[in-house]
Amino acid sequence: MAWYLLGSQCLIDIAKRIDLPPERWLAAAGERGIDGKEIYISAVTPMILASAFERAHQNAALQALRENTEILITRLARSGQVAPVTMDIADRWGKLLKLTLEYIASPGHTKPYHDPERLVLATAIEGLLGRPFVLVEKRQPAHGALASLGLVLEDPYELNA
Amino acid sequence: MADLMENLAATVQDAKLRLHIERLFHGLDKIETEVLPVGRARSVLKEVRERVTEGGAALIADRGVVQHANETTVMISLETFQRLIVDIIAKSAQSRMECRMPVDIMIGLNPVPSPASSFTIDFDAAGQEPDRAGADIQL
Repeated sequence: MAWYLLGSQCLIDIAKRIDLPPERWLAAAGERGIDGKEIYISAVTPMILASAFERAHQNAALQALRENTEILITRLARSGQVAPVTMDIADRWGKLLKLTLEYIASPGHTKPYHDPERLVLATAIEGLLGRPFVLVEKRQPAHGALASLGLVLEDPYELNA
Repeated sequence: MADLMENLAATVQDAKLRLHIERLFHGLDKIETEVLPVGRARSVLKEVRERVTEGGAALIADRGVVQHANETTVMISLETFQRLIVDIIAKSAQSRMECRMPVDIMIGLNPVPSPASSFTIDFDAAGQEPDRAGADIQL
C-alpha cells in the first residue's frame, strides 16, 4: 500500500470541514483500503501554516480554522505521522530550489512556490525509508514539472469530479 | 498443496481467515517449480502483490539457507513459499484489524465560519516576509 502526504493547502481544506474535495478524499480513504496511519504531513507544514495564518487578516473565522488545523497537526504528530526532513529530502530540496516551480495563485496567474513548500514537494518525492509518498494536493503546474523526478500526485478535486 | 492445507488448521487459528487462505490456494497446484522469481510471486496472488519486496526476498530462507538470491530473484522451495504465503496473509489480516480509519482524524472538528472557507496559503516566494534576523544589530 502507498503512503500519502497531505499537502499544506490540502490539510487546511480538510480542517475547514465544509465538505471540500480533500475532506471527501479523507472520508473515503478508508473504503479504498487506506490505513489512517499511512497518511502523513511534512515536518515543515506546521511552520508553513503558522506563517500563513500570521500574515492573514485576523478574525474569529480564521481563528476557528487555525484551531482546527492545529488539532489535526497535533493528532498526526501524536501518531508519529509527521515526516521528518531527512538528508535525502534536504538534498532533493536543494535541487528543487533551482527549478521553476509554479502554482496557480488566481485564474490565469501563476506564482513561484516559496522555499518551504518546495521542501514538502521534496518530501513527497523522497518519502520515508526509501518509500516515496503520494502527494495529496490540488494539481498545480509544478506537479507536472516534477513528475519526471518521481512525484506522484493524487488530486482530490479530480477524484471527486 | 495437500501439506499446506493439512497444516492450515495449526497455522491459522481464525476460521474465516483459514477459509480465505484455502480459497486463495484453490487451483494453485500449477506451481510445481522450485525456482520462484519474486515477480512471479507477486503475480500469483493478489494479496501477495506489493508485500513481497526485493529487499524482503533476500530474507526468505529455506531451512535456514537461501538457496539462491540476487537483486530481483530468490530461489526457494515450494514448501518455503507456502509457509511464506500463510505468514503474509495472516500478518496482513492482523494488520487490517489494527487499521485506523482515516476519517477518525476529523472527529470533533466543527465547520469553520464562511469567511474562512476560502482561505488559501500564499505560496509566493516574493510574498514572504524578508529575513530580518540581525536587522536591529548596530555596528
